[in-house]
Amino acid sequence: MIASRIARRGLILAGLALALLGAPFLAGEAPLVARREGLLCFPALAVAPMVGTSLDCPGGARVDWAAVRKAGGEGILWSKPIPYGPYASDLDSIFEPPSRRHWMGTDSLGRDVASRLVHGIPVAFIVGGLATLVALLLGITLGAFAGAGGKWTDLALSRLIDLVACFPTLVLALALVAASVRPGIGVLVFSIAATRWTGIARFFRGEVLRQRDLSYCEAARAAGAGRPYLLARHILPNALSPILITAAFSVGSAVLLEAGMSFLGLGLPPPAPSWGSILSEARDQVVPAWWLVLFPSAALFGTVLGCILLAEGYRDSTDPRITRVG
Amino acid sequence: MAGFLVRRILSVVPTLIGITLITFLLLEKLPGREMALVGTPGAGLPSVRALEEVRRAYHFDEPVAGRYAHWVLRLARWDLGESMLEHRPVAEIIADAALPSFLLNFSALLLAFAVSIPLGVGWARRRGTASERAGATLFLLLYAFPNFAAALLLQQALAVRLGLLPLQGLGGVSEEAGLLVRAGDFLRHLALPALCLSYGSLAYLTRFTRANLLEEIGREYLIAARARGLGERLLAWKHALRNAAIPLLTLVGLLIPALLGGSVLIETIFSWPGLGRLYFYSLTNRDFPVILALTTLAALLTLGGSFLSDLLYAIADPRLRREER
Repeated sequence: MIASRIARRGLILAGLALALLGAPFLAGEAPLVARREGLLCFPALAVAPMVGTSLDCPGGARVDWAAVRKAGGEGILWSKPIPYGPYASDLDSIFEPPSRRHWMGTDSLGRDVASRLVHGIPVAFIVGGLATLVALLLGITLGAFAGAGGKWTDLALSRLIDLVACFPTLVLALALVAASVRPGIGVLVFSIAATRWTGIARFFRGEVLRQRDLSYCEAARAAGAGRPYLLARHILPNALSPILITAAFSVGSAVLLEAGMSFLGLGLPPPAPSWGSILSEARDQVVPAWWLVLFPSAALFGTVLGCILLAEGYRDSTDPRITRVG
Repeated sequence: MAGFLVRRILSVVPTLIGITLITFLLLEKLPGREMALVGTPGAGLPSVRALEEVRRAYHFDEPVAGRYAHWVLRLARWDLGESMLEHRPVAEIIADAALPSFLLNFSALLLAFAVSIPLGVGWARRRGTASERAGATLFLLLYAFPNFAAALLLQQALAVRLGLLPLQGLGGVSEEAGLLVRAGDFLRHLALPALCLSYGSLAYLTRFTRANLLEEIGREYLIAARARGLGERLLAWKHALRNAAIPLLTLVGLLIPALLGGSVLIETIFSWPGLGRLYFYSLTNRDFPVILALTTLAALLTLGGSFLSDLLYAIADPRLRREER
């Protein structure tokens, strides 16, 4: 039981790591192994820190692998599974349906959709994960201040939470992005986080108010624990489980929100390989390119489903009170 | 009841002020808002003097506090200013977009409730069977599938490939055509957006109905009713559902703000001339007065929604009213 749980957790972590770090090895022009000037080299590893330069080909990053491929691919021993970069456009092959060359077809600039999709994975998870993290920090901090602060702090902060929660998610996020002077990943993360922290803050405030009169908190206070210590070492750990479950759900919906905003053109700036911008390509075209819709949708679906399953699995494994009723 | 209403209304006032303040301060610095006025397409960059004139005409050069007070005072009289792009009163533009938005959202809501309540009840009654597990999986999958992706897929499949339904818009059969023809055309245009909009809440509502019903099913009054010899169907539909429906009522209130926020994507995809699309269009075109009005309206709708759900709750559950006294 415990062994299988550890194995499953390991599997989830490995999957996450692969999704986040795997993109440069799955898709791109630079081959995994190549021979240049009689030497074996590993151009795909050239981005690695420390050892990168010694693994790269002689001549370094100046090798234009796209051009090498066009010329017949001399010296390439082992390509990546998807030998196209996410930004490399090929105007001779725009709107190609899925084929053996392009597994998921190409878009309006002849870019390989599969490559953009794979490179979109870290984009989606970094934005979704960071936004959730910011929301967690903000929500827990403000919730703690509201719950443990004085009467007026509580009143002011609770009002603030109510106010921000009044704005519909997409409306607030879009307004924040539009109001920013320089759009980019930071603004996007902040905008998404701004719509997600209120629920966490409300919950944690309630937890603080509920727990602080329980006997173990009184005991800790009697033993001389100060307010910050009590919050950080007693109340937070007790409330952490539901917060983490919410966070897992939240990553999924943050990814969805990012995709929606990029779909509308108010997410990440255009060349970035976001799933939402692949979807928006499909909308802008008169040609019915179903592959531009199907594959990013499937990626979004998989991400959201994965987050839900992760959250439910975590809830089932941490909450012994839940018995599987129908 | 009256005391409850008055207290509830009074408590809204500070929130109202807060909402207008947040909206105004947030959008006050909206970059490029002067451009919407002078930047006619193809005219090149506007001159500094033209920008100055716009700033003065719209009082952008005055202190923030004064402009905020001015705006709120006008807002109280439902004078929302004039659109920078269309040179029409904002209230008029919003009123034009509100009807299609309402029709779309209302039919989506109706569809969601009409489908999800029977489904949820039936699902709850089939505890422990294979069809129950299949339902759980199906609704989880439905819930996880993003509705705007579904909208794009359905649009491509049904409208573009098969040509069964119109691609987008409200439809425009000439006025001479019979009422029936026009209604049919409108319904055909409504079908896809309403389906896509309802479907996100559909999966949610079904799960919600089932969970609430399951909670009721173990209650003693149901055991008593069963002991009196009432049929299972009557038990589930009449006795259990009535009590399970109270939390469902509050959901109606929570779904009202979706009128604007939830339908931005769907309305944009289907070019449905509603509030959501208007919001997106104004944002990309920097139509400052419209954005300001719509953002405030969105927050007001949320506030109104939660107010409505409180009211419904109080009507449906007499205990609440008594406690309030």
